[in-house]
Amino acid sequence: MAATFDRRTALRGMLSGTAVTVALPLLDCFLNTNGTALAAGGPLPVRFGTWFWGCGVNPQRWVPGKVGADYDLVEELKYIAPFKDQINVLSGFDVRLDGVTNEPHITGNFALITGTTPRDVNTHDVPTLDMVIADAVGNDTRFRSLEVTATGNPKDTYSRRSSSLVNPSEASPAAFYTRLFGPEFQDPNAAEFRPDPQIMTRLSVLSLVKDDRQKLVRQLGARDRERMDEYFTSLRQTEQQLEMRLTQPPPLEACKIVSDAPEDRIPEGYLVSAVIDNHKVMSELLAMALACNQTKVFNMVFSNAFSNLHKEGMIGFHHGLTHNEAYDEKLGYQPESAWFVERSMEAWATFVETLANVREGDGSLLDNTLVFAHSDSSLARTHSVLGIPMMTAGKAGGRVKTGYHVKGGGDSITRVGLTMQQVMGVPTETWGTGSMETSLPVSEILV
Amino acid sequence: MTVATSMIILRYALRSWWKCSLSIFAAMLVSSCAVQETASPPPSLTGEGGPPSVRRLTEVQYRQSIADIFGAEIKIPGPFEPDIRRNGLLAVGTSEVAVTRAGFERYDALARNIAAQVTDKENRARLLGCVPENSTTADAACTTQVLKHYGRLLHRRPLDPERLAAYVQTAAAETRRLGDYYAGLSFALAGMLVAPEFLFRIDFAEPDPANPGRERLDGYSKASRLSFLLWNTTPDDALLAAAGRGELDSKSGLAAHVDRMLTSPRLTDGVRAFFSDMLEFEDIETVSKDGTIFPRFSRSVMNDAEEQTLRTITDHLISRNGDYRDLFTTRHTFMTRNLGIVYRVPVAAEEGWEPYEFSEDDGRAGLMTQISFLALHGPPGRSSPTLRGMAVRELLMCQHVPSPPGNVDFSEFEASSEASPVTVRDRLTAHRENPVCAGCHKIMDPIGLALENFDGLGQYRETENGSKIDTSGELDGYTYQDVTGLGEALRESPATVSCLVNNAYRYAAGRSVSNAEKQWLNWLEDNFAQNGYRLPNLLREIATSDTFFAVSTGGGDTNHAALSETGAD
Amino acid sequence: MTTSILKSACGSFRVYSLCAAAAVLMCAPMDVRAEPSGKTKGFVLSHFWYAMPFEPDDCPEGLAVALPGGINPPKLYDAGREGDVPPHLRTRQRAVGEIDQCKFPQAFEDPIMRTGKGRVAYGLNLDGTTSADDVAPNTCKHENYTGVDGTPGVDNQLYRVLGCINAYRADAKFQQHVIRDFIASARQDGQVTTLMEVTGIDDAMNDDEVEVGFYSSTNPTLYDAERKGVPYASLTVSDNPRWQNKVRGKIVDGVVVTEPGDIRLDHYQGQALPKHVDMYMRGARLRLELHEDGTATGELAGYNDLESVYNMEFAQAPPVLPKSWGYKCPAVYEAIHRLADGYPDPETGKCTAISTAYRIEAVPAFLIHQKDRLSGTETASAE
Repeated sequence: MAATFDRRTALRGMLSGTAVTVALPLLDCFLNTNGTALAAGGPLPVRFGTWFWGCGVNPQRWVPGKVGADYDLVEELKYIAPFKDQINVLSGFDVRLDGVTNEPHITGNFALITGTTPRDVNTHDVPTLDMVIADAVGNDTRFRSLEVTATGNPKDTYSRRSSSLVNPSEASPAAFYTRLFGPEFQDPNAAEFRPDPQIMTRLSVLSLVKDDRQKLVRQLGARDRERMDEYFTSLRQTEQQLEMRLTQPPPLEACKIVSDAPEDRIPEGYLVSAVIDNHKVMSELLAMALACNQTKVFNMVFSNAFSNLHKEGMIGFHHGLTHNEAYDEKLGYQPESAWFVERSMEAWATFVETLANVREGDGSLLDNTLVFAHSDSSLARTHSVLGIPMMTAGKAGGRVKTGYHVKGGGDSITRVGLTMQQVMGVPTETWGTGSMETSLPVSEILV
Repeated sequence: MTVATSMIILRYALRSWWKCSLSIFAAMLVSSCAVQETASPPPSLTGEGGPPSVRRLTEVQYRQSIADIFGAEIKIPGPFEPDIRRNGLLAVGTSEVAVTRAGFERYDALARNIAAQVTDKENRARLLGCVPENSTTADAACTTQVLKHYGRLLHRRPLDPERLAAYVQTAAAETRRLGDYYAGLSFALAGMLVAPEFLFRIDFAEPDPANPGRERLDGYSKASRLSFLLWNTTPDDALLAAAGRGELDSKSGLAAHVDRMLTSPRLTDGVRAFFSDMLEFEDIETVSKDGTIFPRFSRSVMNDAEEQTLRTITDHLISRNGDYRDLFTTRHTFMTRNLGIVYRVPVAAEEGWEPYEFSEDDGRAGLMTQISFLALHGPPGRSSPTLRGMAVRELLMCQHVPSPPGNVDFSEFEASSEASPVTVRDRLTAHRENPVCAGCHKIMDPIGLALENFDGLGQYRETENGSKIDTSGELDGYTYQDVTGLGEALRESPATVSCLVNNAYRYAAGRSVSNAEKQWLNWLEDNFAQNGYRLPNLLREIATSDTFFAVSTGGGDTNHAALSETGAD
Repeated sequence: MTTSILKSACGSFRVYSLCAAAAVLMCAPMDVRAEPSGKTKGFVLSHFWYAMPFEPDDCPEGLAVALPGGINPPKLYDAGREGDVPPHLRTRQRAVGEIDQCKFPQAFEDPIMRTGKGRVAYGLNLDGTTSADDVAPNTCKHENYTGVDGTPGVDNQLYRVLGCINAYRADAKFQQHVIRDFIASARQDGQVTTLMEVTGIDDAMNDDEVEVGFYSSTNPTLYDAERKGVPYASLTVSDNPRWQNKVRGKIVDGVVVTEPGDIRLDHYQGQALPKHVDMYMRGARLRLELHEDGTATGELAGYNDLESVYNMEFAQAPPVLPKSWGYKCPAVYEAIHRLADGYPDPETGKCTAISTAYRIEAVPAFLIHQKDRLSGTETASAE
């Protein structure tokens, strides 16, 4: 994509939506041998995303015994067996509380994704990992990032720029489909490119809205001026998205959208069977959004941190179980709670499979993606933030090795976040604050 | 299920606030006793109101504004960017939220959708008031007329001539580009709808002639504050006109308009919005119960339950001008057939609502015995005395309950559950006997246990697993045998009254209370008591007070910082 | 709970004195005998259909037959008995060549229907006799069944007809239970609603004198996702004067038993037979068990008026249905008349009603009596 864009020129040149015919069937010969780049120069995009599940794991049933390549799969991990070669397991990395009270299910998660242990999540204005990465790589796609939840509740999101800029999740499959592939979708493989003249109109209206705003903000307090800045930043990002739609996107072989919106079955009451079904539908839509290069950054929530997942006829929900269910001395864990952990891992395998099934170049969409899966705690029963379970899937366009189990040995969990940023090209040497500050990436998985 | 989550999240939201506001409440409680002798007039506060505020419209305010300006025929397809709760109120959150990228996308789509409807064939004759000479070319006169009219209503003040001219020019240019007069006009209107002047209520200050060197809110800012407080919607034409004539700057002019608004049927919308916020009713739409355990649960039951409580409140506080405290003991409410099934009472009206009064032996009295409260505060499959008790403390008494320690070991609790206790009370004994838990649970559990005659959905029961339910307990020294007694204890508690006054003011101002305002709040609480705890009276005192309109500019930044430092945030 | 309900319901109208008067009125004498005072239990029927055990030996000759192939020729014409064809049908018959067998079953002569000769049925011993030879007054000679619970002399002549029709039987191969399912879905869809009210209860276990009302309603019966009746709904009693039925009864060990009485209620079978017709049962007796959870189950046994039963079950059937459901209207018509065992016509001596038994499943409900509602208060009942 063009890095710079002169809007004035474009507006002048495309006033009435002149058709620009670019018929370029994408043949294999245009790809380099790794399937990661277009021979013509533009590489296939590399994407980053998170996959979140709530209430952790039972470490003794999850952490592989063997370190390094060809790790073993214990009970709760067995579901990833078909994709083991494409997944890294990261165990034993710790959140350090630095004297901050552990707010169960919140502190650990936000420490993991912001690098800073929050004293109060409501005033914790450190952007989450995905936003940092989106700022670096997400400016040349239609959406800077996409937030999706399988739970049916749009409030289930952990992606935020600050405590007052929380990115809502898309919860409805039909709405998500329309947002992605509705009338505003520009098919990269369409033979004829005809920009919508209304795009120019919308740009001129947004320009009007944003012009001459000194009077509006002059008298405001500092915090309110920041909020207005945030509003205008959002406006400018919308403008950028519109401007992008004035040029023909490069064709993408893997982009094959289905013509019909999925049935809008939004789960109610966190019923786990419905959430699993919805997760599959949402994952497929998301995979196609990536294949069509609508975004390079995504966040998928399978279950919320206080996992409200619920089985029919059950009195409480998963989170409640982790506290109320009797501990089975013989088994050494809480069997019903473990059932939910296993469903989460099964869903994670489904997600990885969905990306792996999309052929892209001579590999798969997964090969050109880095998915970072994590939870909010390790053993939810005690809200432990030591060894919060994490995994990555995909090779990030050849930048990451997969199929390894890395043991953190109590190192700061920020090492993982730092690694994600460096893989995605964020120019940063260190990440994290306090005793979690680190400049040591997880080199075991770096190419 | 979201209720529990949001309760827990709320807990964190309240935490920092509580750390600071414990002292506020303590001070308020003490002073509310001590200040009795000082009746009127209110203590005067000059310019201690913080900087001009910027509040994002809530979803309800957005919808109501559009309906008021363009008519209820205009459809407003969601979703909206979610409102955020801060310090216990969405109203406080409105002063903190901005607009995310995804949120802007949503507001932008909504704006274009609404503007297209306003100018479409069906509505243009009714809404535009003029017809262009030619429907494919620009018509400056007609465009100016339309945009001037709606610009004033949407932005809640007349547009600057330069802004108006810019909008008119854009409409003309886009009419030329698209070859359609109405398309050009529609996009200009969409611009007004996505502009910060519509999405945010932005205060403007002007020099205060009565206090040279100081500033005051201008009339239009006052009109907005009044209208959103009392009617939860955009100012009507009369109020904007009054603002334009400077009537809101005089005591008598302000009083006359406040009286007009307090006696309007639209006051109901304002009071409903306030209590929806205070009672966290935004969570009702996501509350869910397990259908196999509670087959009577349905979305329509929950919708009716929310409406029932809001009707009970507005009927009592507005129609009857009743004592606020009686909401904790009232047996009077409203029913639909849908609700009658869950309450197990007869409902004669086949459609809609009818008044209903519980009898003494029905065991229901007070808002906390209504389904909206009972079902909202609990997990999907059972009742939770702890969550209900916490909700009474936090929502109705404005008291903070700390969250459980992060490293809490539940094994002791589990050990007791293995002894297969019969009732929830038995199970919770473990909480209260363990000193780590007892500190907090003893202030929540006894309240919730008094509500144990109602199961997770709020259906009446007398036994649990065959054992008779014991509903006795104690609230801050007041002992009771059942929920009626709990209602009386809440009615007599100074905390419920100061909570209401505090919430009403924070709701009005959209922010926490500053140190300088505390004395005034104490006076307000006294005034509330002396006038029989009537809400319209309380709203009148707030809406006509200097404090409500006080603004400090210039040093706005430092003032705002001072607010935080004094612990109000 | 009832007194408090009444109080609170009245309270909602804020006219306490009027309300007290209304309450007294409700309890005031409605006929010459003293109205029992006491509590009221209201019910809505979640299931109301024939009680049939479906024993393997019910129909030793096999199920009733519906001749395959086209429409039967109008036999009366074939037999040269044109005079017996109703006059208004004669021209139509000539023009179209057929007569609606179900609307005019008497116009045809069909082979005798195979009817039931089993030993066991649901129902009550309505006539007090246990032997076919012992013909009680006001009955016609008939065989007896043994009750499913062993009661001798059970009368259920209608079971001999319905029990041998494919579509009525639960164990039939082709149209298994289709009629029951039609009725059930009509009830679940809110097309027909039946209410029951026991008033004057002083002691829910044993009470010498109670009254039982049977009513219809245009409000839908509510069912939950598992197709169980929703308890404690409020339902308005229809003010159609035909559907107001009250019979005297008593409660013995928690079971309501009534004296015989005539009951007329709204009936609707659903899509196939699309008109509402009255169900008219004579000498009906209720045996209703009151359960601790507020629900009730039992039997309603009595003599279904022949015209009513034929209209309810057969008269509306379009030509194709009897063939698929396994009967022929003329044969059925003949059979119910042949087997009728109650209420003989004083002139002809032929019985005009046929013994039968219904199974009732009911959940508690608040009955809103319309005449009271219109006058500003309501009397409602549930537990």
